[in-house]
Amino acid sequence: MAPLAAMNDPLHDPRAWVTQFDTVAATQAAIAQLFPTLDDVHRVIPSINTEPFAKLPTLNGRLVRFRGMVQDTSLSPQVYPPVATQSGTWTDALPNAILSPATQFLSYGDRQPIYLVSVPGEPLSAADLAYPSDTLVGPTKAAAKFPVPSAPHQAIAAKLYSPAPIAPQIGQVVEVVGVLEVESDVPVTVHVMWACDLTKRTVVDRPTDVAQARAKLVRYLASHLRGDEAAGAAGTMGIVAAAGLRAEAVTKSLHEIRVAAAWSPLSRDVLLKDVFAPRAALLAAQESAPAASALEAAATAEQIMDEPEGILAGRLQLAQGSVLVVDETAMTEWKLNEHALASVAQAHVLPCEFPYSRVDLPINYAIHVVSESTKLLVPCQVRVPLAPESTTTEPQPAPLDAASAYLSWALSAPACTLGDNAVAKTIEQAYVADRQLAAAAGASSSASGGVDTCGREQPHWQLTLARALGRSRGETTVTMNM
Amino acid sequence: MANAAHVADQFSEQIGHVFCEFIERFIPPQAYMDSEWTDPASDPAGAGSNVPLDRLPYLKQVISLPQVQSTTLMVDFRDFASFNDMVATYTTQHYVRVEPFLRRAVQTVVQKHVPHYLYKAASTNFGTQAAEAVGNVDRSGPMRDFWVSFFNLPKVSRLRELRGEHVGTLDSLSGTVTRTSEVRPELLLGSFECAECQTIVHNVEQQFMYTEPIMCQNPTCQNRIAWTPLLTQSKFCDWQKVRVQENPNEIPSGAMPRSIDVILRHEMVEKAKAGDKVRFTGTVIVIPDIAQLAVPGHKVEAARAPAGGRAAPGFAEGVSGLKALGVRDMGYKLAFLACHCLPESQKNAWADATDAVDPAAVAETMTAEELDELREMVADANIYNSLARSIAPHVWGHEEIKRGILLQLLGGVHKKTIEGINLRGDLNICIVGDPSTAKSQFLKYVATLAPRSVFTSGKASSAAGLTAAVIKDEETGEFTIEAGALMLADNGICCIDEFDKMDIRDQVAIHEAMEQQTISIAKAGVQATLNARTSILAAANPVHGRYDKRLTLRQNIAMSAPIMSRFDLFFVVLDEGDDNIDLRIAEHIVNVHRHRDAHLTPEYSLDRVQRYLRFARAFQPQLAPDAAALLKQQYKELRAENDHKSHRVTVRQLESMIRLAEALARVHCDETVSVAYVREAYRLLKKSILTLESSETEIDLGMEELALDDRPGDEAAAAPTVDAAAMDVDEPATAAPMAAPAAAAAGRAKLQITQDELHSMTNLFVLRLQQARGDAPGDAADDGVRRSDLVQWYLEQVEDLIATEADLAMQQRKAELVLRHLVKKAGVLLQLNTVEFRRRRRRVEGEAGGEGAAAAGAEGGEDGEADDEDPFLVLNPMMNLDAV
Repeated sequence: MAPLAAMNDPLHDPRAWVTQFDTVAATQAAIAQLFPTLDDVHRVIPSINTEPFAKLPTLNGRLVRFRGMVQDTSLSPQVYPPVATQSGTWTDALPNAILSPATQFLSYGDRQPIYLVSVPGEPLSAADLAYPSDTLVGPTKAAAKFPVPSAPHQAIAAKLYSPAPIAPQIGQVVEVVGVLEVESDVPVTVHVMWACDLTKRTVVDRPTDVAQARAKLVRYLASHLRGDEAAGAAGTMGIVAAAGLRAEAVTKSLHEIRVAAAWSPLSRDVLLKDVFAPRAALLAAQESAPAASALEAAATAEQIMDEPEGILAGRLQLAQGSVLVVDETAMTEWKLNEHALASVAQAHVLPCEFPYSRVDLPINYAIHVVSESTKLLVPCQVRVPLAPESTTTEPQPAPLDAASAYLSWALSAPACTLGDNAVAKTIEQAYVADRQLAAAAGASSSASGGVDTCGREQPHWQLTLARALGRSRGETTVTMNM
Repeated sequence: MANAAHVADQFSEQIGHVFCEFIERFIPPQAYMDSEWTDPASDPAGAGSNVPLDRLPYLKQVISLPQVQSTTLMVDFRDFASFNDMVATYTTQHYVRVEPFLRRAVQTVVQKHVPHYLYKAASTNFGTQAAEAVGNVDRSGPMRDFWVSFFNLPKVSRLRELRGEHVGTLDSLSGTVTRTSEVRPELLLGSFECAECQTIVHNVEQQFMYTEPIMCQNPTCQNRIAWTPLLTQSKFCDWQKVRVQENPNEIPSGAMPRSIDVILRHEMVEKAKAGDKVRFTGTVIVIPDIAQLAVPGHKVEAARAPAGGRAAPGFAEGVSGLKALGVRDMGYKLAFLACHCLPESQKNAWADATDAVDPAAVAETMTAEELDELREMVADANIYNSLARSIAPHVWGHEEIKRGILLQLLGGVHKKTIEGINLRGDLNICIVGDPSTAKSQFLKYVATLAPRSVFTSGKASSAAGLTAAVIKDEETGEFTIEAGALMLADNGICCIDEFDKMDIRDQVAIHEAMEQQTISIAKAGVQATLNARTSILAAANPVHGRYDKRLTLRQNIAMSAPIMSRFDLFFVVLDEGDDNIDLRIAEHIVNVHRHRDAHLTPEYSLDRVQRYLRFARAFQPQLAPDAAALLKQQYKELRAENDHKSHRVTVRQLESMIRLAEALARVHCDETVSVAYVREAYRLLKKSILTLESSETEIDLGMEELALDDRPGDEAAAAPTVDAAAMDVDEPATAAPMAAPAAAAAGRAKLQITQDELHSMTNLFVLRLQQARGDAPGDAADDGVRRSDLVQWYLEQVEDLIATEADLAMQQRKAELVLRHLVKKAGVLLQLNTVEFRRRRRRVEGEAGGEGAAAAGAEGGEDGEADDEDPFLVLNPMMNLDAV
């Protein structure tokens, strides 16, 4: 194998050298040998993550890399002639009489297309683009495949050739290297030759001193979140509801410590029921769409008609290890998919409904609810109250690496289980006491004489919060001091 | 070229011969047990010499093909493998290559044993029959094609396991059918006439696309493009395409379900319905992606926004356009060509609601162990309540709702009038209630329990999503119907959450489905009436967030009268505070979190409930004469009571009562609807009707020690409050088992008063307490009034209503209970803490004088006891008096 430096020229046109290898597997092996580490990949291969659209055709046929979140794995598998590079081009032509016994051509290679998008919530400023006036993927046609509405992003169809270098899972953050194909009538495609699961790579060992790492992060967050220590501590728990904060502030503070945090103004106030809506649900949604968004609805419908299998992104489809900041205050009551959000927060699964079946998709990201305590998403008793005037703490510098490492570890740590009977009894008693209080306060305003803010969801949330707190402290069971 | 010799596929020919032998000579292993005849292995003459035909299943099947008018030989692959393992393995690996030879083998056997069936009738049946009658074979018609359908392959592949290496091999896959196309003819072998020289080219094989001959066989012609298909000389077969989605339990963690098109031919068409879990046997094929060829792709174009400004709408798309989904760039796709399809879910599916099914036939599908369990359940005297408690065990309480859901799962009996009009047997239920009262949990549970059930949300569903949508077929461009939730739940249950959030126009769209159980669609040139024989289980939140008891149900939920009348039962769930219940709920939830499923120990497991439901649904109970008479009488009573009420009792309620009674009979696996069932149905319905009329709603004051009942004597005698727990399966036909619990129930009946009465009493007490506060001086203003004084004062106010001692006792008890209700549930009044109050009073009195203080101290203990019995009541300072 030629040394890396000697490959510089051929890298500009991989078709010239991949033909050296008979099969895709051999090519993949060669690539893996060339780039044993991620740093090698980053040093040599150009990224198309922030590549302006106009420049992409110039990279056609070149080796490129893309870092993104796996958005869709439901696309149909494909077959191809096993010697893919004989013609020197990446076409998919198969002989016509493919099944005729006379041809004896009954051997195919497999590849699996997956859909990758930029990691939702990762800040992408104009400065990141070579041409600031360019946008990546626009807000209409491909928007339904990106969880954050109207946000600029990049998207590719990555084709994984068998044996696939990674086992793609929805929400996974991956980096792929492959040959870029930009041609008319086909989508932007990367024929993957090397791939890396970044989620696995970033799993870090337990910090030597969890308490110290946590304290450091709390101090930083507290200084940004109106100086309240409780809010800072809550920020490390995975699920938290905080009153009196602004979603932008939370998002910004998380971005500064390189945590992907997705937040949007939620102008339409809807988290769709079907987060990954299959075709039927979207057809229905499209039919009932208001006239104002007719253009968008038409584009969405066209997309749905084109791809009956593909799943579309909802706002709850985020990458592993990121944080969803939900501004409950800005939402219209009854338009929020509170069931899905509660499911994500409490059971760490996202229920996706398909005709005749339901798939519980495991997710692993944190939720930070910002609220004025007026809605019912999170019961008021599990909120972290914030005093608006407490803004005295000096902003702390972002503890970049330590905070990221701690958060990565905390979010991937095993779940914290409930402790002994005393903990259970305490939670039960707390629920009854909360109900009594809520009943006394709510009786005057509620015609039914019922309890306004403390329903059966309350203990679920309370348990979830206690577990999250335990996890953030590195505990395995919930104890009385949580 | 025309004279080129055909290359014989010797190996496949041999496979064909072995298959011929298999059909003629295969004897199942169990047949060897009976040795009256010679073992064929030692019989050089082979089959037919001395083996009875009964022992040769495949030969028998071939011979019976004409009787059943079939051309497909069903072959259990295990039999084939046991006959010749090597050939079976080769067949698996090279199925596409071997398959024509297997079919030819069947043709050979047919020719040998039933030669007259080899050819289709040339002109009329009469001609054929005449030929058969004289023992001749009419060869004038076209030759029949025969097919081989393998099943019971040793391995069933998962959908996502199908790869390139599976192309052309015999495989089995399992999945859920999500869409079916209509049945169309498919051209298998085409005959074409050359437009230049009229030469006819026969048997042009069609490779999953319309394929014309490459070149005219006439050496002087050379035509390659001008062909006329000869339809009469071409061979067609039935064709249907179904879309199959991966089974949920086969999807790896973090992945989404995959789908594949399955092509069914000839007798396999129409075997699978949308929603069925089906096992297909066949082969993976690679077919041209017609949709891709037909639809031009989205061009990848550079788009740059004007410098310094925002991109124009629609101009800012980047590299990822409409075709960014990664599959359209290929001209070929994987599909599955099935030779056999077996709906797997049949085992657990409910029988078609409109078909009469014998319970014994259902029982036959169960194993001995399952049957024992079923017998045990049928013998359970308390099956009604045991089953109800086994419904949604993770939800604590709500027994009445669970009973309703149980009856819905069983349903009433479908009937058809002489005019052919269907009368639905399905029960529709609506649960209305405060947020966070486990409504959705019920829906989700039912969606899991009932086969062919669909869970959907009114928030995300439009009329088209619920009923049916007309969409354009990708490949043909024709408009076809895509099933909505109600159609998908045909013969099942459609659970609609957030029903109140549904647009009113969309609600109207399901009128027809709820009563007629059909969906009519007339859109884009498509006109159809489709079955939607489904029960609807809906959950709705009150319009103002919380249920307001002062308003009617219709005012509480935004639902039109026609829709409301189509629900058989309404359940209102209120989130009212009660310490004991709250503690039980908290314990339940914490235990579920701690011990997961181990904490949930329902009397009957999900599987047992499912089996019992399937069995019980097969019963078609009929009304007993006395039950029919009681029904009439109760309907009459309901109508009579209905005169001045807001909710109109119509014949729909009578039908509901019949359905409920029939469902109750099914619960007990009873062929007769007895009086006992009618009474329980009446109780449930009456409760539901009362729910609808809030001004008449009885407020349950919830004091179990009471022995009062404010209903008229005759109504109480009719025992509508019969304790359902006493429903006795052993003596269902008599009312006797109901009488004893009825008497017992009367002993612990609860005091119930109307909402209006409660309001007026509340107002009286509030006024009295306000008055007392105004009259009292200084600190004493907060002391309140003793409960006994308030009761006494109330009795004075209602003096006119008291004629006898019994009236007095009842009014007194009513006042006491209303006061307790206002303290404990409504929170309008507060009961002063006795210890604190005594201390305070002693302090006040101590300040007034030392002697008095000492005396008060001495009396303290007695006071305390008296306070417990007769506490001081004050107005809740947090109460908004305007709201009372």
